[in-house]
Amino acid sequence: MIRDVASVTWKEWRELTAAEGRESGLLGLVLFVGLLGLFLPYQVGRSWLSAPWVMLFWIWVPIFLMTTVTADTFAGERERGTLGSLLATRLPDRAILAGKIAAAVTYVWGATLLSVPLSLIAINFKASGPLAYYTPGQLSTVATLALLSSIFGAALGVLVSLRSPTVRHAQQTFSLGVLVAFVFPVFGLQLLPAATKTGLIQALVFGEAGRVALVLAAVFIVLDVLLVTAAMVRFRRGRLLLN
Amino acid sequence: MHRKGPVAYSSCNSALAMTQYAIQTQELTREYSTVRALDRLSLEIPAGSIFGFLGSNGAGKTTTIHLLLGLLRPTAGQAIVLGYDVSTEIDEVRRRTGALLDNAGLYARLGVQDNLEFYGRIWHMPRRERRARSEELLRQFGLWDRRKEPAGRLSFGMKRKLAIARALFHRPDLVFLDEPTAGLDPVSAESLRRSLVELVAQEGVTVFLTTHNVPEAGKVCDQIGILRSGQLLASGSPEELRASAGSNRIVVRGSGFTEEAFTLLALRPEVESAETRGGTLYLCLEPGSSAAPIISLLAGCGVQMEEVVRETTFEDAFLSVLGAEGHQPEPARVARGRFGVVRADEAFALNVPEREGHNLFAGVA
Repeated sequence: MIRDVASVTWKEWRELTAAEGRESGLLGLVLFVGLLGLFLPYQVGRSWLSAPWVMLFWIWVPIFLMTTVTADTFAGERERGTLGSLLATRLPDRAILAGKIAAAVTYVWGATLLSVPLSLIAINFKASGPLAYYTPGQLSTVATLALLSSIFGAALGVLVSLRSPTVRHAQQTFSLGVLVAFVFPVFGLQLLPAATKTGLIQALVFGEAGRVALVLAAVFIVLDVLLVTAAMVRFRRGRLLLN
Repeated sequence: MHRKGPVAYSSCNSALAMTQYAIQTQELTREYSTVRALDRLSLEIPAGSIFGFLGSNGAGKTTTIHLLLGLLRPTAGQAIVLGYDVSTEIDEVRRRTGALLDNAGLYARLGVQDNLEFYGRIWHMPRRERRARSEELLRQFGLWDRRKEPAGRLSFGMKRKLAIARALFHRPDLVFLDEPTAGLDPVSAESLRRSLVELVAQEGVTVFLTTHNVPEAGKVCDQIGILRSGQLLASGSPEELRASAGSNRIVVRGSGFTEEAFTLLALRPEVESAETRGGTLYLCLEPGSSAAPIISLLAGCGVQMEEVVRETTFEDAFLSVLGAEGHQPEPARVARGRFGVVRADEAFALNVPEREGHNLFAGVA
């Protein structure tokens, strides 16, 4: 099974990094790393390392990069006519699904981790005083949250791509879903009682980063399990081809 | 390559069936809402043979392949592929088969060799074997020099070749080829057919191919099934289908084709045309006519006959099957009694290089 997942991941990576169409992929990657690794840390300064609300960036920005990567997973194969041949191979359903999710996760998570050292350069470039750096705890929090949000984005993207007739359709649906998921908590916050709202905002701004990270990680673990399970349930060879 | 005759249907679950037949289907049916794409298909395809599924677009050929690969579930019936039930043991089937579906399914952004590499990885082939196999196949199909190029830059014909190479890459016991030469120019199609036949002969693989190219099926296949509107109209070897179709074309090789013989032939009502070319007499008889009185007539005129052949092209057989099922072929435009004129429908037949026949009468004086 692991070998099969690795085979699919290998193929996905080769496609992602193939010379053909590399320019548009690189542009997206450069924009992503530029935003998360340079622009935002430079704007925020030293707080970027320790403020609990900064964790929201490490969660949300990778999901936006995921839009371009996962839309292609099944909708792209369907559009280009490669899906039938792939499904006719001996690969188990779960290996195809896991391989595609793994490729998207490693790509986006890798780009996120690349932004970490860049963010230190940006912060130290702007701020005066002692050298700013991540503690091992901060580093593992960023890496873990980015990984969990990448899995969330990949599973959601693959789920959308499974049923989309074209890549464009998948991208639009996924973007809309991400937007709703982003806007919903903001509006939801307004509906909460004033005391709860204030408590939440205070926790995000002045709270203990480790505790906030734990809550976020717990939420994303649940979401990841739900989405991956939903993707496995919806992955049916016959239905994929018929669509 | 084994060449086997038709065999009677036996139990799908018998141990014998597992070794003797690559594919067995029994009453295999697939319906899409109101349309019955495949209607009670019962087939037996001997292992090691090339089986051709002939039929026009929408006849049910691709649906059959999808059913045999477990990409679709049958509405009714059963299919056994390489001894495994498609409904319950599809993983075993996919492990032992390769497929070129209606779309070549190549990864355009991946290199030519990487397309094969991926399939080698899928089938857990060791790295060294993958390299050796890809070189062997790419050289065989004339793609070795372009192995680094993205597959998307290949010509249409080269893509089909690469897709066939990919289907054969892991040395499957059975390979499904859905219209492998569709859209190719005649030269590329012939080259691909030759490569395919050579490979099949070398590797002893069973081939299930679909086509609507009648001459192609007649040339390449050991066994043929003719499908229309989801129903199997006929099956057998090309020779058997030709024989069952009968023929109205007689070829007489010999000497002494005198004016008297031609005059007497012209008086026979069943003779539609006659001409000689290089010591051979070509006769067209009315459909259903017996050749025996004509042979006696020629013998009576002193014609020295070395060989008499009743010739049928595979197209004749194909059209005959379709015609017998209610789709009459276009009636041949015949200049009745105008001797020395080639029948109008021979222009169609002449497109077929293969003109095998049944030797009715050899060495008759």
